[in-house]
Amino acid sequence: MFIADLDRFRLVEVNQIAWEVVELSSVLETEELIAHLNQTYSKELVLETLKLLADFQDNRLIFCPPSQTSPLVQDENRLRIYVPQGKEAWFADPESISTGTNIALYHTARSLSKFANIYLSGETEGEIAPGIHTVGLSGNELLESPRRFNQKLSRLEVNGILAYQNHRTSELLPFFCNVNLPIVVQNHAPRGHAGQAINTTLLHHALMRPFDALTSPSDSVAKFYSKFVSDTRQFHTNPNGVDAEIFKPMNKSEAKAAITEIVQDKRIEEKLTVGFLSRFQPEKGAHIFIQLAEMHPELLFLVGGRFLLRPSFQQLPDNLIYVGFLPRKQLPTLYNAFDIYCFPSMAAEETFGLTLLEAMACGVPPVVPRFDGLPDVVGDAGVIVSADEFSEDMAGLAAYVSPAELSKGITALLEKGVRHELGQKARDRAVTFTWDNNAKRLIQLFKELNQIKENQRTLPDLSVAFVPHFDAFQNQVENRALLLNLTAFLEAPLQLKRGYIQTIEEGLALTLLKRHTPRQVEAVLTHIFNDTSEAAKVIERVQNFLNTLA
Amino acid sequence: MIRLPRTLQKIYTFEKDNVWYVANLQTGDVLQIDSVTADILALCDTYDNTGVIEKLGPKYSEGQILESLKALGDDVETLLFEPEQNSVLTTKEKLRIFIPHGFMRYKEILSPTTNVGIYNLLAALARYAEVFVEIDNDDLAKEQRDQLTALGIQFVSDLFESTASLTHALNRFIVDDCHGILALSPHPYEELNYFRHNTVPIVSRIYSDRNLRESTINKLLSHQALCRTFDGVCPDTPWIADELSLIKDRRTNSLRSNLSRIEGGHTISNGVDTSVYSPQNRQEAREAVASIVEENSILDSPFVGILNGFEPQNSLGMITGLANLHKDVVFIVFDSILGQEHYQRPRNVFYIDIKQPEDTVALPWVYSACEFIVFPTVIGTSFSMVLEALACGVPGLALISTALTKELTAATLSVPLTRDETTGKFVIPTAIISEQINKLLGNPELRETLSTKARQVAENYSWDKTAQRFVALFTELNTKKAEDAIPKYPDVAFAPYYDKGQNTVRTGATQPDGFFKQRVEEGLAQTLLSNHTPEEVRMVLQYLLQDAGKADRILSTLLP
Repeated sequence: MFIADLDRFRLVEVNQIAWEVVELSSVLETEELIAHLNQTYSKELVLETLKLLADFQDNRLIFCPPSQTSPLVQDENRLRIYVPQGKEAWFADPESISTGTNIALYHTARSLSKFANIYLSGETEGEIAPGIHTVGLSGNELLESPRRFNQKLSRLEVNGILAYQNHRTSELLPFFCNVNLPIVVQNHAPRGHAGQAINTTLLHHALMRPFDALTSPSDSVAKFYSKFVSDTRQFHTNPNGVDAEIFKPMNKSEAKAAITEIVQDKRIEEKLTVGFLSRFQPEKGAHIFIQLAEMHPELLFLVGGRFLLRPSFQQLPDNLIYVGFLPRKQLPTLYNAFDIYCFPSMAAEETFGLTLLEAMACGVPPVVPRFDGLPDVVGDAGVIVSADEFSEDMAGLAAYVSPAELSKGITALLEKGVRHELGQKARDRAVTFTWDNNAKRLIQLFKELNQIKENQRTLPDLSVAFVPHFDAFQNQVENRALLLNLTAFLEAPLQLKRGYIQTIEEGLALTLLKRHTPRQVEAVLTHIFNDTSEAAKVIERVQNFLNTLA
Repeated sequence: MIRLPRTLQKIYTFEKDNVWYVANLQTGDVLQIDSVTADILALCDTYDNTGVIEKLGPKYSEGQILESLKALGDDVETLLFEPEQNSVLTTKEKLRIFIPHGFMRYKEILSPTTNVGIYNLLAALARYAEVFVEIDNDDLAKEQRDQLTALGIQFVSDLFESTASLTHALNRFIVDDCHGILALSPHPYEELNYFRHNTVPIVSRIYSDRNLRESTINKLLSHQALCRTFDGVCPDTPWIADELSLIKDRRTNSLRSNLSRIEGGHTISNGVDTSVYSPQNRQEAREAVASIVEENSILDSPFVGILNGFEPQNSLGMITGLANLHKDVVFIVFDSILGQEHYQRPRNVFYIDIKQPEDTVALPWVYSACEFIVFPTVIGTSFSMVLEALACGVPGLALISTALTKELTAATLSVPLTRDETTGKFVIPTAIISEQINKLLGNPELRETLSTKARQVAENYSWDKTAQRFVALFTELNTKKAEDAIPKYPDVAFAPYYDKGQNTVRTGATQPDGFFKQRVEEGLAQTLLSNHTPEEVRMVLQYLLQDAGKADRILSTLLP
């Protein structure tokens, strides 16, 4: 006799008494159970069986630990999305999240949970917040046993995987190679890390199947990658959001007073302030911000966030105050203490500027360079100054914005009427960027990708042979690829039974397409031809050929 | 993709809460499956893939069934199914050999002696193994079919409705019931499909047939490239080594040295039926030849036979030269090409055309009519004819080349073969051959000694021995197949990568850990080895790198 544990995918061989104990275990207490079985079995035998079953329980077999609940939510209308990199701790303590990327993912998951069931990797299993579950499933398990991993995903009836891209190239690769579900990769850092971010994006893009997608918070990412890839159709823009109920205009005097209280500098309440909230480092424009402070002694410059400048820069201008790294709940107050928000970031990984949106939501008019995703956020609700984008990244920087240009922008906002008008516009624009919209776009995207997956036609996996061929006329041996006109089903889709001669490159494309995406094959052919257009022609020809037989 | 039918392990399939599971009662594994897979498992030990698709067609789309069959093959084959039948032979078991139909399809382009040789091989093989041939009914007259049936040869068309192509049912039969495939087609690419999607040893026969020079070389090259560790190419003589030596290419050089190495191993000579080919009364034989060539005046002169080489037109100078040097000798040339009208024939040269298998009936008399036979085997000749001549007790005058084995040269006078220093081609030493002709014609005792040796040598080349060697080869390859584990290679991903230092985009290959550690060619080698033989991969790498050494180095890091 066997009992199958359908959560652990294990079969346990049991004897008759163990079988009966298991059947009764959910309705009878131990003593009742012993009494009940006493008519058939001795007490010792029942106890021995209970001990055996306890061992199974210790190994998490047959019995659920009493405190745990099933992660499954039986709501057929909601999508189910697995977020392998989501951290359980974020939902226990959102304050523990620091970087913009993680904040974005946290908010995305949070909003998504209103419309979909979200599954995070976790030590324990259960619902940790409405619609957000942890499951005992991790990327490591995928490496150990893709089959088991996929079975668990299948049991959760997952419709897709939401991941985010960091600069570690290896993290998502096994998912693309082993999991036959739509994968959406959120890309918040398309470059930087000495070129590694670019390489990670290029790798993910090459591995993407037609039913995968890459999202970024602004159009700048697709535009940037059009330099590297010929087809950016799988790049989708999905702007970040802001909680406009938390980040909203407050009484500015009160906000300034609150910050004055923190830094003990009365000038905050007396002067116009220009704010900056991010990592205070060169890539984010820290030095430019310092120069601006020097150029505008009549204004007060406030800096929030981590202070990451080298020690020699500890000596800041008198009119620049480092407020410190405040907890997120105090940020609305800090933003409201700013009269102008200046975000001179030239970081190679700047796609959006979440703090920029938060400042705008607080009604603070922004001044930003025309660089990457920042103009997409600001729109016409702030001052955008010109920037010189580098032809290629220099260390972590991708552009230069002159302090003089930014200074002009700040000066334009010193006029109260303009500042108030743009502040209102900033608020009005910011409230259109909601996390709910972000989640809804993702839901829509997952639905579309599932549809694409469903509509995919199976391409014939034709066998190819690579053989030398003797040309008697030339008295020399050439290399040939032969399309053998035989599928794994031993069918011959074409007329000729004994093979068709193809070029080696075509043969390679045909054979590689069985296990690699078209873009991977295109990359290989580009390497072989040293010519992207020739590679594109071959892959297009081979794909069209296969589509004809699909 | 799994190929059904297959034997299941002890499993139990069940459904709970609309989810299907299969439990392996031996390993304790429980797998979640979809309903399509559950239905397939119920049919899989009875029906092949086509049958399953047909059976489940009303319930699921073909795409769904295909996807599930693919998943069964990819993921869980070893968990649910018994291993595929291992074809290691027991000594008591009679080998079962499948022969695809290509040899019948191209019989028109084979020389009559080759066709006769194939028939003899089948007949002998049927005495030591069960032979299943795939012959379309259109290819065979009823009397021929009856003749083969009488030899014990079986027709797969009697087992399956259609043998138009490699079908599931036929492949299942080959995989489950046969121990080997004997690829007899002269077409270089006709049988390549059999190297895919089955695990049965394949032996590819390479003919020394003058009509097929290019095809034969290409069959050797292509089959050798697709050979797995348990397949073999099997020339009927090592003549092909000479042939390959004329092609300046590293691959043919390497192949040539491999062929030399397997001489006596995978080279299995044809046999000769010494009851048919035996010494005939010389005078009666001479008269028969005179009758064939319709020239009675030749009976006044001694006959010397010439078995022509693979490129007969290249022998024309030699034949004309010998005819001029030996005007008192009649040269009987066994050839169907030089005898054509447009060739100017010296008065003492006569051609015996052998165009149809029926033409070979006269051969014992034609051989016996000759004092001796010249084998100007520059680039090979029909080995069977050499054997036949020797079996008729006719001594030989041979050029030393790999077309003749050492045993055969024991019954001949030999002439060293030289090469042209500029072209590298073999040179026919007409003057030396002429001297040796004089030597043999002037020495009846020498001719008698060689004649006796010729008979003895021929006795060693029976068709029974040929068949037994094929059986031994298939047995050896089946054992090798059981011993050789095919290594599995992890997936490799290819992607463009940005080279910051050079500000350019290149292509790299990554391992599952995601790091661009490999060159594209290294990644290609790794990924291609999953579906292609090392020889195929070597060829691709050599083509891409234009450097054989680099290709070999990459492969050496991956192969066991």
